[in-house]
Amino acid sequence: MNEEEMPIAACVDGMARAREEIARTIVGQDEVIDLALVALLCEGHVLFEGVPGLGKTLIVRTLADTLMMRFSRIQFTPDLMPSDVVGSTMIAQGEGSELGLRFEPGPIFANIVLADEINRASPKTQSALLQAMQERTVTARGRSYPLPRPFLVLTPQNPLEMEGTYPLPEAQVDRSLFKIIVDHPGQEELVRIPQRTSGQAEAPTQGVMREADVLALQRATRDVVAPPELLETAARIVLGTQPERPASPERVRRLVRYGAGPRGAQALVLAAKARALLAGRYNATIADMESVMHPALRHRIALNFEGQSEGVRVEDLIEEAADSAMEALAFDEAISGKAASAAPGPADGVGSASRN
Amino acid sequence: MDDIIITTIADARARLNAAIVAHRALAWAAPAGILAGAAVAGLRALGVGAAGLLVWLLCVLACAAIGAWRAGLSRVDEAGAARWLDERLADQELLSAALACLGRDGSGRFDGEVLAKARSLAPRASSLRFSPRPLAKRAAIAAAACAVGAYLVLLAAPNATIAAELSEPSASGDARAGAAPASRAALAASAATPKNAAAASAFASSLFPDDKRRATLAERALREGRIDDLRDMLKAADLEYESRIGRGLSEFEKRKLVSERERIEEAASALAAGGLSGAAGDESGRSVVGGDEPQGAGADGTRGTFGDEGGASGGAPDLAQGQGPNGGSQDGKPHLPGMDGASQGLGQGSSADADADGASGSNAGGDAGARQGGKGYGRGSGEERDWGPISPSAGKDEAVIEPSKNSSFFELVLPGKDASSPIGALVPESRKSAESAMSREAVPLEYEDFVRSYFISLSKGDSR
Repeated sequence: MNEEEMPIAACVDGMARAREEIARTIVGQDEVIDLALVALLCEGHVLFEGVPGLGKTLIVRTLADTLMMRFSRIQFTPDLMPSDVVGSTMIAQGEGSELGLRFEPGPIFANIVLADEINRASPKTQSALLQAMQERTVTARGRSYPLPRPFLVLTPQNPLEMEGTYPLPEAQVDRSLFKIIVDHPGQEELVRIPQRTSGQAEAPTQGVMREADVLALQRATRDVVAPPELLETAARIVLGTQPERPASPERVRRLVRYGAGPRGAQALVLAAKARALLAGRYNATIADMESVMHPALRHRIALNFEGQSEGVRVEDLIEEAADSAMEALAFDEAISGKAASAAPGPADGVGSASRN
Repeated sequence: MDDIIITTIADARARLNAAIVAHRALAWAAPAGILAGAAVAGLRALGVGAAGLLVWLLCVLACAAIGAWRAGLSRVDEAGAARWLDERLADQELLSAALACLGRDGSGRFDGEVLAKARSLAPRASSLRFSPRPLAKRAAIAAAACAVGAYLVLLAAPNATIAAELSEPSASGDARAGAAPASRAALAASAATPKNAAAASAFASSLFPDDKRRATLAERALREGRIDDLRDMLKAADLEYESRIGRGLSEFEKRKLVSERERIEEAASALAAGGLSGAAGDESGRSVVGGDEPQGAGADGTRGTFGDEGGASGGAPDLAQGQGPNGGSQDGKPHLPGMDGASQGLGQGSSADADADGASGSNAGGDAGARQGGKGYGRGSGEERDWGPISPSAGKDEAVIEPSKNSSFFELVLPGKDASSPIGALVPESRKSAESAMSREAVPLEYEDFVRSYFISLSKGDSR
């Protein structure tokens, strides 16, 4: 084990502790927390969708606190201007008595940005934010200002109130790595939530990681080994969501208006790598990819009228595309049977990174 | 160091491909065992001398070889073998990842870690063996199928009677012609009566007065009801006469040959018209042979054949007319000596709406009174249907879009015009625009359902 790997293993441990710390505050949203951490390692952005009151904002704030990052919240309104987001140049007194132009950074200059109700902003303001998300720089008066790293934008959306909104164009939505659905908590969680929040305030969330650790993990994510069949399967799944392809499943061809593109395949592979790293492995597996398939693809697929009127779930169509892709990998039934005598059983620890 | 990973995967690949070849060969051999057995047994029953166990065995082996060849085409590569090992070892695709690392010379940041763990797996991967059960199961199925096939082959002993029958010069001709066995048998029975036997002999002699061999063969063909053979003989004789007449012969010889040839041609045309082979026609146009009781004049051959093929509306029942009393020729055509009494029936059909015309048929009776009808055939010619106006709404004051009553699409009908445009060609573009507008939420919420259901109903109408 070389010296460079030690901090990575330690970072992986740190990330596990961060997850536990967040789960201490957020009840019953483990999958959402995991996916947010995966998106952070992938340097991607996240669309949150869920009805009000499910703790979306709290999740983001807790994530920032735990990872000891700068947090910023932008509440988008129809009259919000691009300069209100990215910053503006103003006249200010310099070191001497001379007046000069100075760039005053906007709220987007933070590590974790909560862009609340982005669909209420005008397209011009949305564009400014989305450009910053994509390029990770802000340009003002011909000068570029790099945004801090790590940089993660989380965009909660409310599926109920759509009046007076400017929905994100499909091309812009495609730029988010994940679309995470925040579901209602179950009965057990609903018991625990008031139990925790109706008493004395608990100890505040502790920061367990530094920016540098997160940056190291982001770099390490891209070095995780992805076997060729994982890449091929990702490509097959993405192609299987496209209705114009004759090989796509019948329901996809009938019910989908457009499917995922190259960004979908990139998201699948990168997220699988991040998932593997968070699990302490240096090689990604198809199972890793399957676990991030829905959030990585659901916002890249649009249903047509039939799909909408039949109430089809995009996730079901993704499953069909995945099943069809997996068939290509399946071995002949006669040779795929596992030999009980020879198979060593679940390989605990095999392929796991050291967690010292 | 990495040789152990490569060797392990290569070994697994070799074993995997061998197993796949064995499985596919057995999978092909199983149905081949039965099918080839049935085929060879059939040939053997028909008396094909070469068909036997050896041929069956060769067929089975050939099919197994094809299966093995196809398996060879789809054999797995190293990546497939690594994936198979990963599945069996449940090692979270470590060997596949190691193979990817080796492909880039282990230059990745975590390649060393992955390769080290893959190496530790190699001994367990090498010890993996195929479970013999699936292969044994498939082999048992193939063996059972082959046993059934071999049994079929052995069961089908050559049938001496059939073989003898087939060895007759006429048998193949009969089979080729596909004449109805019942018809042949009945005709043969009819010719076997003393009276008809004499007539057959006389007829055959008259056909080939100078060729005793042919006359004998023709007589046998008549007696046995092998009309197709007789027809072939007549054709051959006709060709021969043509060739001989063309040579420099004396006038007398030429006249004789011409006379003989005319007789042959008459006989051939009579045969072609169904005079000999035809029997009373049934509705389906197949020949059947009636009894040989004497029939009154005009009574025989009155069952015309019915064949109707018409346009969409179909033909009305056809009319059949029969004429021709026994013992005479009513239509001025010469009839065969000894087979006189031929009559011809003509059936003609007409349909009520003139969409189709009917069929015609002919039949001729034998001198013994056998009702014989020719084959019926039909011919239809549909006229262009009058579909009426292009749109039921043509001529109204306003352009309308409505489902067409006559076709499977909507029509846009302009006032007072005949021109219409299938709306199926217009819908997709409008629909795309609507979908795009809805996704941008440019359509008010309360109208979304209406727009959606409108386009869905259009699509349903379009596909109707």
